[in-house]
Amino acid sequence: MNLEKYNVTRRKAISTGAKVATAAVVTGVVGGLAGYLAGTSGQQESTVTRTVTVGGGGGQTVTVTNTATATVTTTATRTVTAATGPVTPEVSITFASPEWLPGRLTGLIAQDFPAWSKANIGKAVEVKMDLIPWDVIFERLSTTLIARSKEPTLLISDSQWLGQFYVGGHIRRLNDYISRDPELQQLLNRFDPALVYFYMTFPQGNYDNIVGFAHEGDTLLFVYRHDLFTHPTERENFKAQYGYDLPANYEDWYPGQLDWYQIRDIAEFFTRKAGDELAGKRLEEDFYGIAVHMSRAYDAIACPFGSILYCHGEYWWDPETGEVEGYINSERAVKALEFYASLVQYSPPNALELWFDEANAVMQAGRVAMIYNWAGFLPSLFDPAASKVYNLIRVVPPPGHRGDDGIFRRYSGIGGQPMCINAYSDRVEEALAFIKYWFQPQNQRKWAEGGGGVCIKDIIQTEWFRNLTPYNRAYADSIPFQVDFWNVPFFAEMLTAVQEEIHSALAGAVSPRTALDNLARRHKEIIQRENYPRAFERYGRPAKNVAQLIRRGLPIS
Amino acid sequence: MGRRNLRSPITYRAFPIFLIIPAVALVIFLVIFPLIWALGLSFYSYNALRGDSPVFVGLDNYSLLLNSGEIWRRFITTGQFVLYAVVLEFLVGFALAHLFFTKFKGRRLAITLVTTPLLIAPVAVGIFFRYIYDATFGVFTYFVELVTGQRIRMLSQQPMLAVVFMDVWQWSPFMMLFILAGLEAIPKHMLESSEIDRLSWINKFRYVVWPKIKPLVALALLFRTMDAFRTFDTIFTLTGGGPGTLTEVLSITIYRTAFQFFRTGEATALAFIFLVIIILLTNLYLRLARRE
Repeated sequence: MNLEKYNVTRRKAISTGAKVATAAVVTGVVGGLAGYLAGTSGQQESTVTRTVTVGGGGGQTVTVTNTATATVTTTATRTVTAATGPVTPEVSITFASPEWLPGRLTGLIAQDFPAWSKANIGKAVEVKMDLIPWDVIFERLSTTLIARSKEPTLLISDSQWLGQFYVGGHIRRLNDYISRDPELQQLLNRFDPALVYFYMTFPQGNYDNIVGFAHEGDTLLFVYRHDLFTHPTERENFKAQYGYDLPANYEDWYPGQLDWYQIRDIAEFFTRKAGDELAGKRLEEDFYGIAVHMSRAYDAIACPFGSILYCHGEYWWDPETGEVEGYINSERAVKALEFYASLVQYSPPNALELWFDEANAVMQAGRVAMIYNWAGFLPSLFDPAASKVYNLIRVVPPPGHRGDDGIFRRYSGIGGQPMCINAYSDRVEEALAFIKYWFQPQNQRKWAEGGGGVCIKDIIQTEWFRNLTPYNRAYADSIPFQVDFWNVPFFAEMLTAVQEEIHSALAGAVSPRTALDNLARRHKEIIQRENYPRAFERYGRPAKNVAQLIRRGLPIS
Repeated sequence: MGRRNLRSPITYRAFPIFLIIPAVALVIFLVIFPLIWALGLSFYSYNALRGDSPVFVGLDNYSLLLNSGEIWRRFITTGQFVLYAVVLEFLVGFALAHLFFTKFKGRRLAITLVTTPLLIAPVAVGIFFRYIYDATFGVFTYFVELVTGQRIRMLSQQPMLAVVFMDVWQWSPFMMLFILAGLEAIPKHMLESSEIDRLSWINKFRYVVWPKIKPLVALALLFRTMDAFRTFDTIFTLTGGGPGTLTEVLSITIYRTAFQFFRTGEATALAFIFLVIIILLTNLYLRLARRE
């Protein structure tokens, strides 16, 4: 640099530079310190705002406004403001949850807990959220619990992890606490029985081991393009080709007995190539009939294939004896897998990588007629900024299937999670207080308004809840026919075998028959090695034989 | 006084030991002890999450694994991946090194750009490629369709190729840097002499270039082979080992056994088998390199 041009000596330039740098460092340190101090004595105020717009049923367009975007405004103090005034937390507990909207929403609702807990248990308890990405949450929680960490005091467990966590002694059995507390007893009766069965007990439905409280309810729902299904030309062409009408409104799907095989007809009908006509317009890109989860990841196959399997009148195994032969590789199961694999041809090209994000993406891009996706992931479909079809879609319960025995079965693979108490935590009182706080009517209302999956049946059944979001009605109607797979301690191996074998069949590497025979063999090896059910008899038995109920077409709960 | 003490024979010998004690202690506690503990664990049937007491089973875990068809299939998958990836990386790296050995305008910038993939976290690379290969919206799919008219589903139709390409994209620059360093180290006069002697390009390569770059190529191949064997994050994020188990390499199997199934004893046994294989391969490489 030519310093002479600026009439500055080298020494002066260096000295000035050093001063500026020192000033910057000092400013940074002072600013950081101030920020830290402000943060430690700060207060958080939060607002949850969410707007969802959607067309309504019966050919009318309805605009529903509720919460969709969670905005947190943080100010400089940390004392929590509640209706009763500012309260400084005395105790802090951690709540580990998946990193998604329900997790963030739980954190917002928990902000009033210090005031509530001060008033109800005499100490102000702060709940800090530990939000963990879905991909790694099982491993994170497992390793934390193996290390016998006292925190998180509360944790979200996917329903199938319950056995593993409970048998390992990592989560608390809650029966004693419930028997001593009339409020918790009363709470227990407010859940939908299907959710108690699959979210809160181990073995499934065994009330002798209540190991969690239902937190986020979730079900697989169908989202379809109402504009296409009601388009006169499309309806006319469909009827001419298949001999029956396209479903036009909610009631045609539910309680109407729409069949999975009709869904395949519809998927076939709407699968079009670029240049074809769709609803009177020339397509610029290929258009697909259906997007169902088929990814190898986690339980992406087990849940939707489970739905199809149950609707075909079959289950994974006999939960009482552990027998798999003749269950997962029965004729009905093979037929179910053949059907599931046949959907690939009407799916987007990335069918074998499809999970919740991919299914949403193809619907948001306006390139598919139907998707089968978790209610918990549907909000973004109704966001005008993210979805081209936000005002053209409807959400309905999934279809069923009339089996070879003439019985129409409607079952669906359940999602959702309970909250459990860490067995190593010494903050059980605080955790139970939070559970009671969580189910207070005003908090459940906030939970519902924010888009959370409410599990309390007296709320789910209200018209207010059913009309709150575009998907609540379908969610509420779907709960009674939910079915889960195993929540036994060796679920992970059973699940991995399902994902691998069925994914191979979907990829065409093996036939459905071979895939299911391989699966049965692998499951048998695992079950024998684990000595099921004998080794687990001390935990009791499942309350019902879900396999027999499904085979007979009876409700589970 | 201090100086006098240091000169006494005992202090003189003890002082360096005293200095290295913290480092040695750290290595013992953080590396040696866990390794021995894990080796011990591999002789037990133990599920960390279940919390039952470990049961001594001797060599059962090893025998179970070595007799498992599934584990051998994983070995084959891993071997295929390592072979395809390392060979391709060597060829691409070699070609790039020759390209950058020639001086041209913007060469430095080009080298910087080409080596950028080395700076990206493997997990991010896996996620990028998931989008790139996406059969509906992916840019790779788009260009292949543009050229061939065929919509290729890389992750379901050619999964091994997909993971190998990804690895080649990220690690060829590494190979290139080693080979380029070897090329730059060849004395100019030797290259000029070969020109004057009118050596054919193959003889020039054989007698002038190759002897000079060989040690660095061996080193690069050694590093890449060892690294490719333990590849986990990119494949795990791209395919998760699928479709089915077509791209499930051994490191993913170890991870699943240890942290999803929590069959801790089996997982450590598998990890030790894996370790022995890598050590054997490394020695083989070094021996071959030395012999040549």
